[in-house]
Amino acid sequence: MSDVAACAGLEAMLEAATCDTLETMCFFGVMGPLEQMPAGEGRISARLTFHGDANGAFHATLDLSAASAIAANFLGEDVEDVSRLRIEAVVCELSNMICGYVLSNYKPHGHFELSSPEITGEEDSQPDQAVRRVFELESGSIMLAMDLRPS
Amino acid sequence: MSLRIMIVDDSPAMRAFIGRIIQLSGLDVESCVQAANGREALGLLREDIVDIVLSDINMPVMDGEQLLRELSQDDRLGKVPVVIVSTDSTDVRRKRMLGLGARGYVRKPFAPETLRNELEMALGETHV
Repeated sequence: MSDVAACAGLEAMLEAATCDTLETMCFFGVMGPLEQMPAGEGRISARLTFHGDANGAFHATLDLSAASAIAANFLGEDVEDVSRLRIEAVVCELSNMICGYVLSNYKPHGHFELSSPEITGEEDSQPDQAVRRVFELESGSIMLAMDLRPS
Repeated sequence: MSLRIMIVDDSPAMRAFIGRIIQLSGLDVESCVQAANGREALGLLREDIVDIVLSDINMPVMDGEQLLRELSQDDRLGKVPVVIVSTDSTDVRRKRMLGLGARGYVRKPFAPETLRNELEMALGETHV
């Protein structure tokens, strides 16, 4: 598979994983793709690495308002009742699910080990070669970046 | 019959989510115990057995694979059905966990009805 085809395939998998995870587990709608995240709001980022039949890293960055609303839906609570720590925990869980979804579809017969997601606060630390997707959500936006290298 | 359920996951957020989905599923739930890893789950199960365990795989201290091994070596606890709930849906992992004795496998993300169906299948008709 060419690099371009591989990149397009990964982009499609990122979109499917994001839509399915947010809509199924967080009851949160994905409105469509964006070129980049709109400026002007605080953000929260999580990162995890993986190795096995492919090696790399996964990053997810959300507007704080989106992260708060997603966490509230996931936990079944009101937005104002969800602390920053619990929002971070849900963002980590969301990252874990989206990354695991992509890897399982990328190589269904493969083997992968994922690290525990960590909050980074460094959305600009994503590697240059990562495939990126940005989506507008029913409120706010999400950016995903995946650096995936077949081993 | 009311069910006693155990959720094993190192993420408190995921434990809360699964617990809420189970409560909303329509199953008759008597209690829903939580453990952060396999070791904690074993300790709680030895004190008070449950009807079914829902377990993640990747956890610190003792992961889901080791939990299944430990349970299979215990005459009493080995009878408790375990359903794996994991982000890893590769065939390799699924087969390995089912080979270790898991009675079901749910991939995250999952729809609430998927979890309920898997619980029903693992428990058999007598419990639902």
